[in-house]
Amino acid sequence: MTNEVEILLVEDNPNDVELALRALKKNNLANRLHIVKDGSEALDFIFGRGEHQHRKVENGPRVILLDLKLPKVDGVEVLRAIRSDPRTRFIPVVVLTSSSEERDIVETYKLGVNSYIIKPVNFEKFIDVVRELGYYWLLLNHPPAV
Amino acid sequence: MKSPFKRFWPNDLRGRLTVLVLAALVPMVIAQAAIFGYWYSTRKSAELQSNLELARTFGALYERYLSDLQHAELTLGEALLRLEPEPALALLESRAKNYPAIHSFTWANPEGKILLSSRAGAPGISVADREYFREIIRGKQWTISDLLITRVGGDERLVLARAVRSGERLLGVVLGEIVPERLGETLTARRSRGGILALFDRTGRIISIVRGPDVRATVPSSHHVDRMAQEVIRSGQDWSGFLRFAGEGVDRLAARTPLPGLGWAAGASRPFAEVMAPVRRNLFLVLLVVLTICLASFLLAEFVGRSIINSVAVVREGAATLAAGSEARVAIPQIQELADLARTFNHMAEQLTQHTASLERAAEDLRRSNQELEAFSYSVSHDLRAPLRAIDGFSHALMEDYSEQLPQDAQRYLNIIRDNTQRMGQLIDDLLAYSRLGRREPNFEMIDMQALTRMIAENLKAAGETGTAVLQIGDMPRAYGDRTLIGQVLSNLLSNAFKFSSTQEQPRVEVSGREEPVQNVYWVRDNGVGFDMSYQHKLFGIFQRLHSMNEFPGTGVGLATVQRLLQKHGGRVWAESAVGKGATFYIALPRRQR
Repeated sequence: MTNEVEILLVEDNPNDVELALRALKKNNLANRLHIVKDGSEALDFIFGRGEHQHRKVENGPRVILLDLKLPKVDGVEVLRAIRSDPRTRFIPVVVLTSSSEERDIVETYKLGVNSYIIKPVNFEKFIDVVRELGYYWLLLNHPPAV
Repeated sequence: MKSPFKRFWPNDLRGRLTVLVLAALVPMVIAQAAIFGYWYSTRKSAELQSNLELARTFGALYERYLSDLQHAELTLGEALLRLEPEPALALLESRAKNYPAIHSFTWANPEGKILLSSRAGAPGISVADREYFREIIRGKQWTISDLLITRVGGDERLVLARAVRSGERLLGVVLGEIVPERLGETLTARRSRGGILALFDRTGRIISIVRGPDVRATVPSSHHVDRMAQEVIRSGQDWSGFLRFAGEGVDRLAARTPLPGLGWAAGASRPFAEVMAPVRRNLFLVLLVVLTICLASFLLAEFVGRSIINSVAVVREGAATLAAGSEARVAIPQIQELADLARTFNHMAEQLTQHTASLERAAEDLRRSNQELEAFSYSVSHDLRAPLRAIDGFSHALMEDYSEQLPQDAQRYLNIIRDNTQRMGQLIDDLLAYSRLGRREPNFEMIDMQALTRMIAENLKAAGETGTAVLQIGDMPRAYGDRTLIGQVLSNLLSNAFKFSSTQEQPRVEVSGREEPVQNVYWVRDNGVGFDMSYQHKLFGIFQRLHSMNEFPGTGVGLATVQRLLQKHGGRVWAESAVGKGATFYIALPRRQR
């Protein structure tokens, strides 16, 4: 299962996508990365619907990087859908957002987010954050068998 | 009113009404009592007088009767002188029958020897030693004896003696033997309930008595000798007053009057209770009326008091309802002043309702604008930072990927761009933090300020903000506030103190506090650059800075945050300083109200 997607990045801002990609590349984490531009597409990809119907839900990404403010379906809704399906419940989700609003943090933690990261303005700090994140979730973390 | 009367002047409405009613009633009752007392005494003296009149009338009747009788005796005597002994005796006997009170008529010669008598056995007996006969001898035309015991028969009798004279010469004496018991019967005496009429002889002994229908026959006791009768016979003056007979035991209104013609006295008496019965009946009526008036007055006072109290209670309940936070309007009572009060109350309640409504509208507006502000800050935190991230990120990428192709100046410009982007990011973060603080409600508790200050100082030291400064923590009273928010205040003030004293050779920061009656004051003092007091009004404004970025970094949010947090605690912040002389920032926090 070498072509299995390891990271799903849900991000609508192309600049942020490019910067995230750059940060991931710098940490050698950009292999098998898939990018979707809104919440609806993210759900299609995760649950194998629409143009992603050839995908099997069981071959889900190893980690999802999720922005909260998304067109169509917002990040919180995507998180809720992931957490309410037994097949996707254990996929680690990292919220990667600009929002430092307490209620967003509280709500996503209630829904079982694994990590909440506020994107720093300073790009160097962002690279550091992504590095730590990648090591932690992709190399050390072993999800329970589904 | 601090006078002793205060204890008679109650604090409640009902009590005061009672006092007012009493104040009106007491004089009325006293006046009634005085009127009645006057009436009573007038009546009493009138009754005494009328009793005396009764005695006089009674006496006069006897005098008249006896006078008539002596006249008849004279006629009889003159007739006897002309008759032979036999027809003369017959005349005596027939005449004696004509007078019911007369037991017998007797004819005595001037020596006192009885010659003829309708009483058998009397002739031959001498009456010369009798007092009445002596009076005749002494020249009286007629006289009446006191009670005496007859020499024939031994009866208790009175004797009416009449001289028959020819010129000065006594020819003989006619004696009428009177049965005392029959005297009263002969007269149509006025017989009233409990009334007693009596005739007394010269010794004060009762000769004749007429008793009212309900007077016991033993009152007064037989052979009663009356002291008052003796007194009036002796003095010749009337007497009236009270007496009490042994064996009867009631007070009597009594009168005695002398009968000078006879040398006797007449008396009358009536039971006092009997006499005053109509007065007592009137007294009862008066008492009934007075009591009725009193009762009616108190009932009226109670009624008026109750209606006032009820009206007041309605307003009071309305006020209580209003105080409890509900809508309240009260019914308008009839009493004018209370109606005014009720109307004023309703007006007040109406105003309150309007004000409450406008306050609620204002609160609603505030809530909405707060929501808008929240939405605004939410979108700011998301959308404003994204471009900054892009600027910074791509500047970084440019530097990293193309630094060899970029001239020195271009690289410096890129650095300036990145510095400013990051500063912009910091400003946004501070602004958001400031607005978030504004939304948080303080969670009050007692705070150990010294411990909190030490902890904050440790955190600042860990963040490398303390530099070489020496921190001195003095006495600090415990504060009442939100630990996190007060910690933020201390953190901002200490951070500033460290920052602005960092350029000194020996930076020194001192934190201390003192207790005041209603508030605790704390201060943070440094020996730093200080500021010009003429700019102090700008000190606590958001994004206001008194120093350039080159001198001291900062966004100008710290002191604005401090002020905002203290306002939330009902406290305040102020500062004292002079350029180059260091600065002292004071905060005042209200003490816990117990």
